[in-house]
Amino acid sequence: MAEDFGHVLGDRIRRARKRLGISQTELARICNFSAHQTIVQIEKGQREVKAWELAALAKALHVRISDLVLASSEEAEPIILWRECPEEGKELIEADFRKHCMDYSTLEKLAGEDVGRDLPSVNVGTTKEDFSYRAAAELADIARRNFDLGSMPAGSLEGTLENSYRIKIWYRDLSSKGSAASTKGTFGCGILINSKEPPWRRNFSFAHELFHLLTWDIFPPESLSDKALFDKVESFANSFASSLLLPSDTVKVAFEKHIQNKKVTYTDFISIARQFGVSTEALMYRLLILGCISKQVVEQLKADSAFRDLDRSTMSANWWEPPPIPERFVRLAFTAYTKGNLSRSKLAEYLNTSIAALTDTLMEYGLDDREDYEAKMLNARC
Amino acid sequence: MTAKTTKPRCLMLDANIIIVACKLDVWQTIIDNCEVYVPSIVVHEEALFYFKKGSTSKHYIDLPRLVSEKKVIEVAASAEELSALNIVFEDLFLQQIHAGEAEALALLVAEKLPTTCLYCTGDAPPIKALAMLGKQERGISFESLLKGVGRIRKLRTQYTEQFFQEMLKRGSMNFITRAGLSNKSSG
Repeated sequence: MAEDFGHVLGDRIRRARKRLGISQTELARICNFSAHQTIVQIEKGQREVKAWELAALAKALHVRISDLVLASSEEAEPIILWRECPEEGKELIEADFRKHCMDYSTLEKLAGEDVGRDLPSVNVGTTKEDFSYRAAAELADIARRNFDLGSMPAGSLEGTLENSYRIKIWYRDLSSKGSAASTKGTFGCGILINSKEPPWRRNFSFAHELFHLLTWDIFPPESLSDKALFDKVESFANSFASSLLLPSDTVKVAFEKHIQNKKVTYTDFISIARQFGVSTEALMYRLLILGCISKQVVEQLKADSAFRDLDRSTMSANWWEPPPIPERFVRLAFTAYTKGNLSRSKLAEYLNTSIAALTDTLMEYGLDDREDYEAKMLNARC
Repeated sequence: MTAKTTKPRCLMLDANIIIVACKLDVWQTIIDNCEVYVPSIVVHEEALFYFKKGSTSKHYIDLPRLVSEKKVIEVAASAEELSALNIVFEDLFLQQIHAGEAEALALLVAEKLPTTCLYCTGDAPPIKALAMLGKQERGISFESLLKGVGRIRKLRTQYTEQFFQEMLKRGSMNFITRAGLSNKSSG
């Protein structure tokens, strides 16, 4: 073994392990190595690493093999900007999210779908210092118009961000403590959403993270280590999300339509929230800001158990869980495969399944690999 | 196109071929008649199983057991040999190939196998890679393999000799145009 290669590889493995905050013993256990001494020796460059060991290490460290063997992989890692991060396993989730974003970008290229619009930099003529809630609201109006989101943006926001602007959206169980995160890198933009949150909260998270991506240059994530600034920016992001998902004119019309004798029933109130794809709480605060209801009404609603019970009772009918792998990601992988740009084993790996179960996995996404794509490939000139 | 009928004696198989061979009930014939090498990543990393036609129960292929019984031979590349592919190919090209397939190619490049050993795969990217490495003669289609052991089956296009040859041709074209090859490699 060339001494240099062993040492360089060992060093990269050690750094990747430390980034995840796991011990050598833990890594050995995840990789199914019989002794933690194996990791000690590998990290010191004292042991020849077998290809299967390297593959197991890359998988455990949530990196690609090329990240461990190529010098070019030593670029700074994209920062993940969290709204609320889970208490445990943050490093692992971040590594996993970065890798998914990289894989997503690779599949776009292999499927020939890497061209298209990038998320535009939206200029509201303001700087970090004089950014205001008004600017956040203006930004929301511009985004709604430019992204063609219509009068009820929640329904089309995710699809537009994913399909038109190639934002890598990934869902993951972030426990009750985590909500969402965003990132930017060579792969473009990425958004991580808590799959266990209700759909209306996820919509809000999309809008919230969109604010961060649009203002990435105004509020660079590095600058948000300042707690006061972070809190202020989070507040702007919430204001932006509220304005984006609940356009003032449409919300006012929808609300006023339900007023009878100066009152709106709980059922109608909840129905408006569901219609706009937001939580009743988000609707409450939006209506307060728009001057449609008073602070007293908000407090009254929040304290009313009958309202909360009714709200809760309608949730299951409107609840849906996102698929474990984004549909666009699966489609891209399948397109790359049918074009002969992905081997079957690699397709199964991207879809986190086995070769034997691949056909069934694809069918869950409405794709059928039983067609003889190779015959088509033979006839195609590529 | 007619498949070669020379009886293959020494083979290296990828995971997909092993599964298809089991499904077609020719796996035993292959390991009885040929010296079969399997890359270590396929042995260690991929829990291989398959479903028989019309059945939903999993049939496991216990490769570690077959290795211990000396019915198949596990062959391992080193990480350094595997990394040599990153010098030859562009990273984007390597992302098309599973690590088990990459190890098979690395083993051919490192000449760690008997010179008569042929790599059998039915996937476009590793077949093209063979040609891009100038190792066309070290590959064999599944159709040819089956003819060689006298077990002819109706196969999906990707396992045919015609497909194999066409992908080799495309790989040769890549070699000439340097598509998919790293600019660190010297051609």
